[in-house]
Formats: sequence, structure tokens, C-alpha cells
Amino acid sequence: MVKQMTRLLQTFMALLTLVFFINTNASDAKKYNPQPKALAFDVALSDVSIMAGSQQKAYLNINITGQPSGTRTKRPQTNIAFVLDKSGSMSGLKMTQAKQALEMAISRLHDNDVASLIVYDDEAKVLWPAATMQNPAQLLNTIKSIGANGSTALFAGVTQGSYEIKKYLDKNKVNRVVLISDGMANVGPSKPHELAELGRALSKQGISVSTIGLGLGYNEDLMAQLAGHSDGNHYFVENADKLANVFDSELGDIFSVVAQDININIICKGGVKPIRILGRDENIFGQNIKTNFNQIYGNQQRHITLELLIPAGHSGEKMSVADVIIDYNDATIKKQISHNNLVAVTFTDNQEIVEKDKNPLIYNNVNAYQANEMSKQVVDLRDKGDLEGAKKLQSLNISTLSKQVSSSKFPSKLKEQLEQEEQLLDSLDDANWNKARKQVRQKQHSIDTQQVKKDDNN
Amino acid sequence: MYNKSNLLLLILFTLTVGVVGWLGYKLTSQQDQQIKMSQINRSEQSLDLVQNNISNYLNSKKQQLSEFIDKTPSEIDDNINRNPLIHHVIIFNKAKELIYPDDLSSQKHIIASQWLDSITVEQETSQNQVTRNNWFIWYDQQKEKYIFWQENTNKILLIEINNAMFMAEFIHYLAGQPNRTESAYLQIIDNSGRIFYQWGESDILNNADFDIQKSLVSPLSGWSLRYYSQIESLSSLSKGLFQIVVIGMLILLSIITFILIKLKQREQLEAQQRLSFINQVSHELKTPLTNIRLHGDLLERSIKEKPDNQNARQSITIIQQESERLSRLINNVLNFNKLEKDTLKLHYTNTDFNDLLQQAILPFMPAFEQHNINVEIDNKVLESVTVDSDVVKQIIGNLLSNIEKYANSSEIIRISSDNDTNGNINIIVQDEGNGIPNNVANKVFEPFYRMHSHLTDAAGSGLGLGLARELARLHGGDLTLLKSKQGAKFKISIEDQNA
Repeated sequence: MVKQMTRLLQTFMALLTLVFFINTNASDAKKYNPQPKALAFDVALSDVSIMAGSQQKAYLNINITGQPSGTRTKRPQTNIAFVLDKSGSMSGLKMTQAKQALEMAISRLHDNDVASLIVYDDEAKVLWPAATMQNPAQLLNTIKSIGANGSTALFAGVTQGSYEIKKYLDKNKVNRVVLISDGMANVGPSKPHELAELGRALSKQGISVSTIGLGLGYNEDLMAQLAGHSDGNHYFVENADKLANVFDSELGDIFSVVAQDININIICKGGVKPIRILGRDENIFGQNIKTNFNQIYGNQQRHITLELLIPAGHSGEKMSVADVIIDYNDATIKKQISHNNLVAVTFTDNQEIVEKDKNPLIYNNVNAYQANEMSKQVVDLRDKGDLEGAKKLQSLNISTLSKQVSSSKFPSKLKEQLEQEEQLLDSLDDANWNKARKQVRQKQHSIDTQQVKKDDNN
Repeated sequence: MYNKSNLLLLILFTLTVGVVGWLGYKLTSQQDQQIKMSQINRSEQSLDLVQNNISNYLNSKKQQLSEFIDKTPSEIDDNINRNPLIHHVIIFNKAKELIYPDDLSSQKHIIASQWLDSITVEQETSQNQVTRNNWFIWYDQQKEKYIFWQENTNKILLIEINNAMFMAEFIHYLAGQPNRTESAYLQIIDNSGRIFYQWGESDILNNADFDIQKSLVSPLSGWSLRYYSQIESLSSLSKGLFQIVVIGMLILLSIITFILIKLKQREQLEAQQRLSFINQVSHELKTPLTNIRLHGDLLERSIKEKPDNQNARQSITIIQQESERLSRLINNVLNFNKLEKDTLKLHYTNTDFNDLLQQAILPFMPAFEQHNINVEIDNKVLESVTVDSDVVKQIIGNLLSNIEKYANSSEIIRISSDNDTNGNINIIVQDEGNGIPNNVANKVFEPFYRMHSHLTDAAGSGLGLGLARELARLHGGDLTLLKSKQGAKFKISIEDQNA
């Protein structure tokens, strides 16, 4: 009897050892076959050769490309706060579609994902406090019970959403507020710059806000600014039946996040004077410029372009311009990665060499940015009722851009921009300017956030 | 007199109702007022509590920021990176030289100098260890920026905060407060009059009876906290009860007034009837008296001229007749009074009924003859009866007197009498006059009633029939009006004490 027991125990121990052995082997195998790096960087100056003898303007460009998410073994965990406008204007079909879209989104979340649900009308209410998705059925019931009435306390809704996120704030999760609104915020701060400021503050904490403008009654400036400054997405959905698609692509983005909290630190060398980062309103103190992206999606390409002044140099001299240090969190393997680059210029007397060494892609970025800025002025003029002035300015914008397209070696990106600007010129006269304006803002937003999406394999 | 008293009554009535209503209104409104005042007081108190909490919250923010003055540069760096509320931190020494950060862009330096200018830095704080701090609002391209400053003995700290984050933290604080009161709706209004945040039942906001307002402390000093609430007035039940009582009192008062008016009207009518009765009786008395005096004079003269004169005889007859009439009239009035006072006593005597009938008719014969009226008597009553003959004669006389006055166009008056099985004597008197219409058949027996109450009509006291009936009833019988094709037909029945 005792013997039998001992034998059984021995067998068991042997089996256990075997299992351990196999396991260690497996993890060893993983170590030797690591995932590809989440991000690829391309740091370059617009001008590699610079005319000697005088101060010159140049651009430092950093391209960041996310690895295709298809090559990654798992998706990042998420921490999403759904913030739903339930003011009176949402009642009826809009609310029904929004609820269906929400239900769809919930069904795509896993057990370890965190979700919360906040609704707002006269005030903001947390209907479902942030929690892991252990009990999705109850959350779905909560969604079903939402009715619509009251005013639009948008600021409070987003605020409460962000506080739900903060309960589970984790650099290894995708922390995101998804806001759905169809109306003008009328309770609480509601100027676009106030929402921009909120977006900036949330971005600083690693929270992005994606905004979904529904119908034709919302304030696209406010929604675009909130998303823009918090590094979230902005969508214009004219018909509520497209909401499910938008949710789908938003979740697709969230799930495809390959890196988060990308901090870019540019240290300019002596004599180099940083001016500004195009499209971003970071304050620049001294020689050290810090900026960041909240996240990069798989296949996404984003860039930072720093305008700087290079001091006069002697011909033949080589000069270090800046050190670029980038660190980020890999979204799936939960590891902080650092990247370092040094850029330099050579001074020359030869104008031909200067022209030959110009980086056409960086100048494309700069030109696209400038065209985008001008198109914002065009919208401002149109808003003030100066239709003729707006048309005139946009025509100028288009002719400048056309010249750049014809002289560029790689004009494809600029051509795309040109098409957009031509569309804007056409829509200035449009009877449905309200709708056109929302489309324009959406496009301007994507240029502002320097989001270029390559064709995704998924 | 009649209208005056009515008016008085009306005034009394409205006055009472008015006083009751006013008192009730006063009472309820006073109670309402009291409830309202105590409720506003309570609201003020709970609003004070909310205001205090908010002040504490804002002061704690101030406290947090004031700690930056003693932080090391690396701690401040870390805070700026980590804390979304902190946008910029600048520290100067008292000589206005930059301590933190190491370097500022020239643009920012200019702004920071302007900030310094907008706070009055006390150079002499070294003697005064108290650190001063506060907020000020800076406008940058029409955007409000809240700048916190703090000063101690050797440093001046300036912090530009992220306004939106400040608001977000404030909203999160408000939303997390258990300061929801069931009976109130609260709003925070910012310095541009915009609703910043609100909470409570929106029903209360829509039907608010009053609102009270408090201001907030810096940096939100232009902001206000507004409290909406409803007055819980007297319960609708007690209000309803009060209404019912008032309406009930009104109805009761109306009924009382109506009854009083009716009573008054009746009294008035009776007084009028008495007055007219006195007139009639005086008139009645005057006619026979005039005749008696006239014939008395004639008699005196004819006795002086020719004693034993035919005319004298006639005058004496008339004097006798008129005297009879007078005594009848006076008897009627006296008996009416006695009847009213219940003091009339009957004196039964053994009488020959035939004689009694003749005696009753005799005084009217001269008048009937004058009007060519024949009297037909059909008497079947036993000769000897025991009755009060004066009373019986008065009953019959009153009927005949009426005929003389109102039915003197008749040709025949039929008087029949017999005994019935109950031992009563029934006498039926029928004339051929205009008769009595059915609708007044009952009223003719009422005292003072006369079918035509004009003085010009035939004279009459209006007592006759009523008195006759009362006397007949006193005599154990009755006087009734029988239906008749022509003229009036009365039936007298009286009790024979002998039977």
C-alpha cells in the first residue's frame, strides 16, 4: 500500500519535472526569436548641405512608422471610456444606432480589457464605472436603458470619462476616451480652445480622446481640437447608420496600437536655434525640445518637423545640428525602448550641391503643412462671411501647391493635398457649407496630427 | 324701512363673509410666509455648506501650488511633466532675477515680467514672515489664464496652470460631492454667465419658486453658486379643507339670510293686513253710525212735528238694524281677539232652533228686501237644541253678511238645516252670486283675507269667514265650502249638546 503510494508520487514528480522542462524550453525559444521592433525611425534634415557664410533656415524631420500590426502576436490591452451624449437631440434613431454601435464595440472587448460608460446631458453621470470586462451582459443591459433628454454638458462628460480611465491608467494599456456627440456643448467650458487645452492636459497623462461628430449639428472645431490635442481620432459621421463602421475602425486603431507614450527629445547643438514644431504648439525653452505622441498604430506613419536656424559656417565645415532621443513603450511586450540619432550638416559654397542635397520628402511635408495652415485661414474667412476673400486665398493656395507639385521629385503626397484643397475651393460655394466644413475639418485634423496610414494588410 | 333693513342684512352678510375669508386668507398666507421664510433659511444654510466645501476645495488647490516654492528644480521638472494641471513654473528672487527655469524665451520673459508687475511685491517682507499668495487672471489673445503667485522672504513663485485641467478637476470634485439635496437644484455660473456645472432634479429647476446666490472664492471670484428650490406650501389637503369650510359657511349664511328675509316679509305682510283691517273696520263702523245718527236726527224732528208718524217708525227700524250691525261687527272683532287669546267660552242654552234661525236672518231682511232677494228656509232640525245661540247666530250672520256684501245679485238664498246621525246640526247656506273660485277656496277662511283687497270694493273686515269657521270648530263642528254650480255654498255644522 505504502509502496504503491510512493511509486505514484514518484511518477507524478517525474511528470511535473517534464512539464517544467518543456515550459522553460518554450520561453527560451521566445527569447531567441524576439518580436520585430514596434517602431522604425527616420531622422533627417531637409538640407544636408548648406550655403556657407550666413544663417540658414532648415527643417529637422523625424518620421516614425509603426510595424504592421499583422506581424505582432497579440493586441494591446485597452482601457476605454465610452462617453455618450444623451441630450435631447440624440433621441430617436441616433440613440438607437449609437447604442447598437456601443454594444458591438463592447462585444469585441476581452476579459482583461477595461471599459467604462459615461453619459451626459445637464450633467455627467458615470453609468458604468471602469472595470475589467468580467460581466459584459450587465453592461449591455445598462446601455439598453439609456434614454435621451436634457442639455449638453460635453466638457463634464469627457472629464468624468478621463477620471474613469485614470482608475486603471497604465502605460501598457491603450487609454482612450471615445466621445460621441451630435450637438453643441452648452453647459460648462465649450470654446474650442478650452477643449484643446483639456485635450493637451489629458494627452500629458497618456489619455487620448477620439471624437465622433454625429449629424450636422455638432461643433466640428471643438471636436477636432479635442481629438487633435489629445492625439485621438476625429470622425465626421453624417448618418447614424455609419456609426458602427466608425466604431469598428476606431477599435481597429486601438487594437493595432504598436507603441505608446512616444517621447521625442531633440537637443539642439550650440548655435542652432529651434523655432517651432510645425502643427504643434509646444513651448520651446532653450535648446531642448520635448514633444510626444500618445501612440502609433500598426502601419501608421507620423512625423515631427522642427523648424530651426543654423548659424553661419565656413565652407567645408561639418557641424552637428541636433541629438534626437526617442523612447517609447512597446504596446504588446510591455518594454521601454530607446532610440538615438545624431544629425549633421556640411557647409558649402556650391548652390548646386545645396539644391541637390535638399530632401524632397521633408519639403513635401513642410509644403503640405503650409497649405493646410492656409486652408484654415480660408475657412476662417468663409466663417466671417468673406466668401470672395476665401476663394481668392484658396486659389493662391492651390496655385502655390501646383507649382510645388510640378517641381517635386516625389509629388504623390502633395498631389493628394492639392486634390483636397481643390475640393475645399469647390465647397466654399456649396449650399451645404455646414457639412462641407465638417469634412474639411476632419481632413485638416489628420494632417495636423501627421497621420499617414499606409494600406493595411488586415 | 323694508329696503333699509335688507341692505343692512346684506352688508352684515358680506361683512361676515369678508371677515371670515380675510381671516382665513391671512392665516394661511401667514403660515405660507412662515414656511417660506424657514425654508429659505434652511436653503441658505445648506447653500452655505456647499459654498464652504467649494471654498475649502479651492483653498486646498492654492495650498498644493504654494508648495512649489520650496521644491527643487528637478522636483518641479518632474511635476511639470507629470501633473497636467501645471503648465509653467517660474521663480524669481526679490531682485526679479530668474531662479527657475534656467532659461526662458525672450517672449516668455517679457510676459513673466508683466506678471510680476501685476502683483504688488512687498520688498519689506523680510520683517514680516507671512507668505502671501493669490491668483490673478491673465488674458492672452482673449483666452483667460489663471496665474498663481506666491511670495516668501526671498522668492516669488509664478505658476501658469492649464485652465481646462483646473476646470476638469473642479467638475470631477463637484460630481463626486455628496451635496445633492432632494429639494434643490444647484448651478455654478462662470464669470461670463455661462452654466459651468449643474446638478439636482431638473423638475425643481423648471418649477423653482426662488433662487439664492453665493459667490465663489478666487480664482473663481467672478463666479456664482446658484440654488433653486420650491416652496413646500400648506398641504393641498388642508387648503382644500379650508376651502370647503369657507364654502360651507357661505352656504349656511345664505340660508340664514334667506330665512330672515322671508320672516321679515311675512311680518311686513301681517302688519300691512292689520293696518288694512283697522281701515276696513273703521270704515265698517262709520257707515252704520252715520245711518244711526241720521235716522236719530230724523226721528227727533218727526217726533217734534207729528208724534206717531209712519216715518218715525221706519227710522227706528233702521236705527235698530244698524245698531245690530254695529254690535255684530264689534262682536266679531271681540270674538276674534278672544279666539286668538283662547279665552272665548261657550254658553249653551236650550233653544228652539227655528226661532234661532229666524233671529239670525231677521236683521238682514230689510237689506235683502232692498236687493229683492228672497230667503227660502227648509228647516228639519228638532225644535229644541242645546247650543250657544249667540255663536250660532254669529256664524250664520257672517255668512249672510257676506251674501249681502258680495252676492247681492242673488234672487234666492236657500237655507236648509237638518240633523245628521252623529247628533250634529248641519246648516247649508247657498246664494246665487259669483261664487268662490277653486284656487282661493282655502284662503277665504284666512283672517284678513279678502278676494279683492281694494278699498272701493264692498266693505268688509276680512274676519268674517275665518271667525265663523273658528267658532263652528269651537262648537264641535266646522264650516266648509261645498262645491256648487252657481254661487257659494257653505255648510255649517255644529254639535248639539243635547244629543
